[in-house]
Amino acid sequence: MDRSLVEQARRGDREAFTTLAFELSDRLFAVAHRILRDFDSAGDALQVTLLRLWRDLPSLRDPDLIEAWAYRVLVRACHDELRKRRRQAPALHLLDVDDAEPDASAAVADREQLERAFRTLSTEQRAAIVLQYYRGLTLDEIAEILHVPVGTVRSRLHYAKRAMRAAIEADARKPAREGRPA
Amino acid sequence: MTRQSDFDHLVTEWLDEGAERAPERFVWAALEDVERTPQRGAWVASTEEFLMQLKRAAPVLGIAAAAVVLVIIASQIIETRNVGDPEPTPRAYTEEDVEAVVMTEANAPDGMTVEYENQTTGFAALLVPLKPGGETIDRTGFLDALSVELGTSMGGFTSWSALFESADAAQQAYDFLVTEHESPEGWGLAASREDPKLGEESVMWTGRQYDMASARTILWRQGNLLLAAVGWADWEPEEVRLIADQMADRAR
Repeated sequence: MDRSLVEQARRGDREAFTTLAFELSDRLFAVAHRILRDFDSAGDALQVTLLRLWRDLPSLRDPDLIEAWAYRVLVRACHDELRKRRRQAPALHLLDVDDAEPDASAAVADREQLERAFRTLSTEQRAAIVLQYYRGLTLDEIAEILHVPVGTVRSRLHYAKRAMRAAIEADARKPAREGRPA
Repeated sequence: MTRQSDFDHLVTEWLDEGAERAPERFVWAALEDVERTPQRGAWVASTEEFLMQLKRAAPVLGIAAAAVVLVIIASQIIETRNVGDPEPTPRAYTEEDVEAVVMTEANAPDGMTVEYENQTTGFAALLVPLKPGGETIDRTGFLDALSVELGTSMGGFTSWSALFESADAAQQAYDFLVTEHESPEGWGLAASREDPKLGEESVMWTGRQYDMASARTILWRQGNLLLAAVGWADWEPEEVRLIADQMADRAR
């Protein structure tokens, strides 16, 4: 990230911020989309994030930390989106692949199981998973972004993975039980 | 391949499938909002300049302030002599109080840097502590509510207040919220119940609630006003208590 661009934007230069926003947007949107599992919600989270970045940019002490800070603001925005979505349509997140046609492909079945398992996680757990597996960040980097101790990141990842594995295994057992003759 | 690396591989491949590019319409929509939004730093800078000017004018202002204080004290003494010592009458809270008691960025505790603030008002704010999909709260006697969610340097907190026509109506809503937090159909937190000793009646719960693995809620009633302080991300017990105590002070 161009340090001088961040400094110009921090001093109130809207043109510099526009360039900065386009430089950051793809990475932020990709992470939001993976956390929220919804295109429009990810767009809303991105919009909120960009606005907050602009508003609070003067308080950023080190321009080199812009990306880590942007991710932190994004995760908060994702948290808000997820809560809003659940409050508006409480049953919506429960409606997933149960009603879908069974697919013969094992890969598709795996993805559906992962999708279902991922939706049971909190925003903070989802963020830790996405930042580790998708962005390939280290525990230290994730801790800096989420503004929590490394131990907290480790525990979030541990519980998230455990919950996902458990959900996948439970899903995998379901058809066998349902298929058993009476 | 081990079970662990199978899982890692599966998750990595699955996450690689999402969108890679942000549609420009989202970015442009945000930039339109940016056009209308001042940066916070500019405001802080002008405030600092104002404070500097104030400092330079301090001697003159100090004399003027002392004179005003003397006039107020004198008028209080005269009034007391005229009407005696009347008993203080407990007042009913109003809409203005709802806004005044809730924690916002403006009155956040010292050392707490607010990174974002999200406000919900009216009936939607009254629903914030409820579990989605459950029984809804009775609106009888409900006047207004404000819920402020704050992402801060210390963690995620919510400061909440709801106003009712009467103390009875507030008490009914309080009872409903207690049931909502303690019943198995609600948040199921009965076992964690403690009394934080605030207002006329109060309760505190800790555990899985509001879609968070661990959150703490302090809820209390003072006359026709309900108040709550919640820590829902990276909170410490003393921080939630500090927010609650400051809200209680403002409500007095």
